[in-house]
Amino acid sequence: MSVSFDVLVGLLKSGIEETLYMTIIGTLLAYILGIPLGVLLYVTSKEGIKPNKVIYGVFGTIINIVRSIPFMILLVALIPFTRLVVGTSIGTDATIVPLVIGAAPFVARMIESSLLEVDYGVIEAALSMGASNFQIIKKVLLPEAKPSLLTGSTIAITTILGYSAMAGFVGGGGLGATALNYGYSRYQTDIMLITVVVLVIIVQIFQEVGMYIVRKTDKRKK
Amino acid sequence: MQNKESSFNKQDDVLIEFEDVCKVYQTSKGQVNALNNINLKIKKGSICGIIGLSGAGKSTLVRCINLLEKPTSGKVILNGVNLMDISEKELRQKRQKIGMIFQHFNLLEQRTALDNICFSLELAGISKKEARSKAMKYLEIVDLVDRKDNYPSQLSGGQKQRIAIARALATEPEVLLCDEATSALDPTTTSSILDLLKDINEKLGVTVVIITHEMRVVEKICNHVVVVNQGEIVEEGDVKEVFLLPKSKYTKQMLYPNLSNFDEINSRKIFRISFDGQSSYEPVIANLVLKCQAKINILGASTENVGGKAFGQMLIEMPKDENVLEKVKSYLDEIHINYEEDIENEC
Repeated sequence: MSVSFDVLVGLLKSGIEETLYMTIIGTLLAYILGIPLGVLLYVTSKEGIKPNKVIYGVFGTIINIVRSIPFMILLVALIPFTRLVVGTSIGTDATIVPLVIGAAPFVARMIESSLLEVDYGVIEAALSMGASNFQIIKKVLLPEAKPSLLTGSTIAITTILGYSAMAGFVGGGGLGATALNYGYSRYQTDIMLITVVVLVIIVQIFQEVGMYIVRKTDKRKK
Repeated sequence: MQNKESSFNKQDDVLIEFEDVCKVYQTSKGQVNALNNINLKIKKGSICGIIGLSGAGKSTLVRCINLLEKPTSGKVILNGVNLMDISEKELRQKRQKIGMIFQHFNLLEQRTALDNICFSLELAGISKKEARSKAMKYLEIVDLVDRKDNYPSQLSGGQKQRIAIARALATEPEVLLCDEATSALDPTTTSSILDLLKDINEKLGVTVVIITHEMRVVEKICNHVVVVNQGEIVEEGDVKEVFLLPKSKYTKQMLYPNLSNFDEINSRKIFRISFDGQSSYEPVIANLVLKCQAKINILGASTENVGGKAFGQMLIEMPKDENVLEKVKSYLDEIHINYEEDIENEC
């Protein structure tokens, strides 16, 4: 082992903390931005409750553009903006900015597709009872799509975890930075491997817990 | 047969009126006329059946009543108010008084039976607590109190439709629209749902509009029937009259698909007997011949046997001998089979 056990534990501990911090805060913010965007996409889509080609086209295109930029490039390109928002471009807080901007469009698309899964018949039934569009979103679409939305958020959180690891390249913290700084730059392969294993375990836990919650909340099959 | 009339003549007021309603869809292949100059009156307190084959326009027609489909032109008048003229907000309030149930029930899968019924009340702005107690009342009406905490996935088709009915009734609508409400159900369940609808019509005074392609649904509970084909009303009137002596070729074809020259039989003594779940083991026709010594002649039939029960109807030509006729009638009464005589030739 190239470093002492205590040092390794310390490295991993701070790495895990930083990674979880970036991932969880990043996911939350990405959803705060992504939910209204996803709902807007659904509502204005052709199958939606208020189709609007212009709004759907504009937002859809912006989302597609952001989604097609490789995250590494987005990370670098956003440095001036990040500095404007958090005052610095390095560290975990600074990483959250590109994380959110990179993930929100992806989250929005996932929300759109979850909402599209809701049977139109149920929406029609709500309309027949005199529901307004807002009531349909709040009382029909979101609650009915809940299992699918939760499945989506499980995918989103693991993807954002992966993004956060990349942030190590531009001075972000977390396990990605640990793997990069100790393992890759200093040729300490064992540290790199251990870090990767820890990342695998975290992803595994997120996935299992996520799917457990989905199964618990879905009332469709019991 | 008589009980069908009782609920019909209670009030002669018109609840729903269509005036020259047209619905045109623009498709890539050009215009499709889903509804063509529909003029229709549905009386308060009646059970009106709208029957037609799929694609006839009946689903569009019923959706024009609550404006889920907005007619291209014409008037849709509910209680004297033209729904085409009112604002979105007013329309939403009107819709709370027009209940609707669907072929595939359309319940909220993530809510319990009770919460599904609360849903329509919540939309109407009623507080959660009040909604719950009201919902319980309707759960009792549809006889599913013990299922209140079950989710739709735990209920059978018939139970789901009962919950949907309770949900539609909870806001105390004046009319209940049923869009192929029994088409996804087996004959026995269909029968019990139809009984429930009839009960609701009689006890709560709710006008019922039923869209269906099944004759036996109209036969069982409707008092007025509207036959729709290719976006037009081809025939309408009292169920008994239309079914016994259909005037339009389309109706005849639909009622008796295998009967080729219908007109010829109009001069003879005709009975229409209908089976509505009576035992199919009872040899009805043979008994008519043997017991009543009636030389009968089967003119047309459309019957089916489901689990030992007979559904459908049969047109038979009877001998003109009055004595034999009396025997036939008393036999049919005895085994509880509904029949109608050709009224025109009665004397």
